[in-house]
Amino acid sequence: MPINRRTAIRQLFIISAGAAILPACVNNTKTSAQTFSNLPVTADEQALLEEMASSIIPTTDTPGAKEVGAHLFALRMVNDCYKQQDREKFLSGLRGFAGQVKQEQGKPFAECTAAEKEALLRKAGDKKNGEETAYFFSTFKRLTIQAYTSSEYYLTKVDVYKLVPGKFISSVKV
Amino acid sequence: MFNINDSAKERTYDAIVIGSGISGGWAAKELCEKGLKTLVLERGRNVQHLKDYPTTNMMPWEFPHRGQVPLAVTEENPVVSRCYAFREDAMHFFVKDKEHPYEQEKPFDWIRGYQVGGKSLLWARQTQRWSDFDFEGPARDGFAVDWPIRYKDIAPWYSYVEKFAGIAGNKDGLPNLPDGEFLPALPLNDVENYFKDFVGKNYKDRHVIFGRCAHLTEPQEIHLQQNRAQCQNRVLCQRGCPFGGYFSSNASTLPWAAKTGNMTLQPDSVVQEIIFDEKLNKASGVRVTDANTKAVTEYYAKVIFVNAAALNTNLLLLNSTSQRFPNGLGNDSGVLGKYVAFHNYRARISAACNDFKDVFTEGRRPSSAYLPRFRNVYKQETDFLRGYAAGFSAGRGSRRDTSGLGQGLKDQLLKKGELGGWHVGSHMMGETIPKESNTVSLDGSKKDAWGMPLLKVNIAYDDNDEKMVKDFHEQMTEMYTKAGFTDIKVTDSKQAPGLDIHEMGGVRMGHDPKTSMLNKWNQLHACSNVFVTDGACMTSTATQNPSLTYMALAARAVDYAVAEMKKGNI
Repeated sequence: MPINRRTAIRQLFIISAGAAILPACVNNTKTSAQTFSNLPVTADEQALLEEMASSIIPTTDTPGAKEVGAHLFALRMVNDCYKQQDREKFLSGLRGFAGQVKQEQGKPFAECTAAEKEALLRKAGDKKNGEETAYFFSTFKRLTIQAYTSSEYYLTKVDVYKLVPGKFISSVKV
Repeated sequence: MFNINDSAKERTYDAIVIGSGISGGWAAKELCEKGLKTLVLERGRNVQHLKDYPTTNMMPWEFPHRGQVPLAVTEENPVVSRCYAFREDAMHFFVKDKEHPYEQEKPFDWIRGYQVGGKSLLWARQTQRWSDFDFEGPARDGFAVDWPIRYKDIAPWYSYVEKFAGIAGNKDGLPNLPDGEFLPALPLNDVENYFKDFVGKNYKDRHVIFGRCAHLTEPQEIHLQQNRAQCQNRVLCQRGCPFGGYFSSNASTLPWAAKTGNMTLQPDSVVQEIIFDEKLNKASGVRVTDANTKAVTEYYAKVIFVNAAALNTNLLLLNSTSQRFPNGLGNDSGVLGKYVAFHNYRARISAACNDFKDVFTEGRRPSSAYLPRFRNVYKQETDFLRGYAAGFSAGRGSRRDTSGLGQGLKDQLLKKGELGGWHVGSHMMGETIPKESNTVSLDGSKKDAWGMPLLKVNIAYDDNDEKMVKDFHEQMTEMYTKAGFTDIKVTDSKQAPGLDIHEMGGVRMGHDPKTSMLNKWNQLHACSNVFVTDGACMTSTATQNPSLTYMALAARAVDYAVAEMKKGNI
């Protein structure tokens, strides 16, 4: 049944009313240390995580993990959604990694060169060099990627998320 | 503590509806439209359309856990956490285990939505009609009792509710899944169409169709009058829809009832019992505890519709005892709380489809394909009774290589994802046989925070269900294999009954007051002014998603009740 002009306009009005209650955007980016009730990470450890996230997805002429607050998202997820034994494993893996950095480089992760950082991270991801650190690193890397690919930046500028996608097209040529 | 500040007259209505979910909303709309001053009692909080959908327009990055439910919540609420829709965006619409305990004599996942609109905000919106192959099932196959109605009795009421709710579908011409009043269907994708054609050509009496669903694909005047607009394919339905694109009590029946001026909607009202008047030999009203203050108030009406959701309707009737009905209101037969059944959703199958590499889809779609029951339809042909329907959907994801680090990883994340192959999958929707041993009853001592006895649930699968899981796996594997799908995997979730959220029965309809609770009009055989038109009334379960049938039964029962009131019979 065709819709006449009046009903079409009325429908458009209802659709606009629906879109009008869009909330303001939330800013995820914060730089100061936060407290996580189930995960006693120090300010230094948070700074290390922020640096690590930056090495995993670096800032270039476009935002990277740092700009989307990826390390804080990762900490929030581990703190709120992970079982106690996994939180403990994460934390001890993180501390193991911090120890490795100190032992091998004798300087903070932040002061390492890009190549040194990458070597440290690759080593951390290898189970041969410690199961807990490998667990910590793979978890943190996954959460960093999730933070980045589900960030406002990524979903508005890279792979645009449509809250209201409209028409479903059942067959599109590749 | 009784509220004696207002007079009984002010607490007297023409009709009372207990529950505001999908069937209560319909009862309210119909009663109000017919001019009855109607009190709608909802045990949960108010949820107003648009106003009370806090997450509806949130973007993915606005959810602190990107949809995941925090561990503290899942640990405290293991039952509801097993529900697929209990996610960060909709968990506020679900009952938390801890706040509303019940007794599981056998594992049963009771998924509830205590708020205005109930689970109509959360339902999967599939709306398939029953046929006489379903209504005649118990009589033909010798289980439960004969349904007191047939398809011809309910067909006009299906049409009636479909036109108002808005159902998208194709006229498929299938005798076991009658056509209805349809808005345009959404298209199937290429792989789904391939499977549809394959099954149609290779199997007699097996069909793949678009799953009919309660979405406004092309709103008609009646929908615009409800201030509802075209479905925008957001597929975020569980948050409540700002367009009213899918049918819910909140978007549709309740505002419509309110517009008549005849509805009083009272949330936070836990109905304790239906009061039976021994002299008049009928119900006089209800006793209600205020969910917040715990104050107890009585409300009175000429007719009462019970739509508290299947198991809570059982609980309420069991708790409504009197000299006349010591075992629960209307329970002369002793069948109240027995013959509870559900749908068997345990089995799944998935596979890959290696063709159609040159096409994909764009956008989202709120329904998919559906295979109506093909087992034992025309005659008994297997070693189990009845059969199952199945969903069918095909999709194609995209992937990115995340093995790298640094610039290399970032380059991967920034480029367009690589299209993966097609995946196909089906889930089972099996009919279960109502048995006397599948029961709900009242705990003799334990009560909830509002003084209601805890419900004891004793419901389990049986051998028939096990055989059906096996048959689903076998038949679907055969169809998938012949269709050329590869990497076929079958699973049995072993999920407890209840997680299907299709619990039915306990207050079943039937011809005979000795073996059933309700007559063919959903009216208690033994208490003529009480009607039950939610899932509790179901004599058997068929394989179709049941909500559409509850809506039709509710509208039909109101029509009858009001006619009887006019004749002075109620």
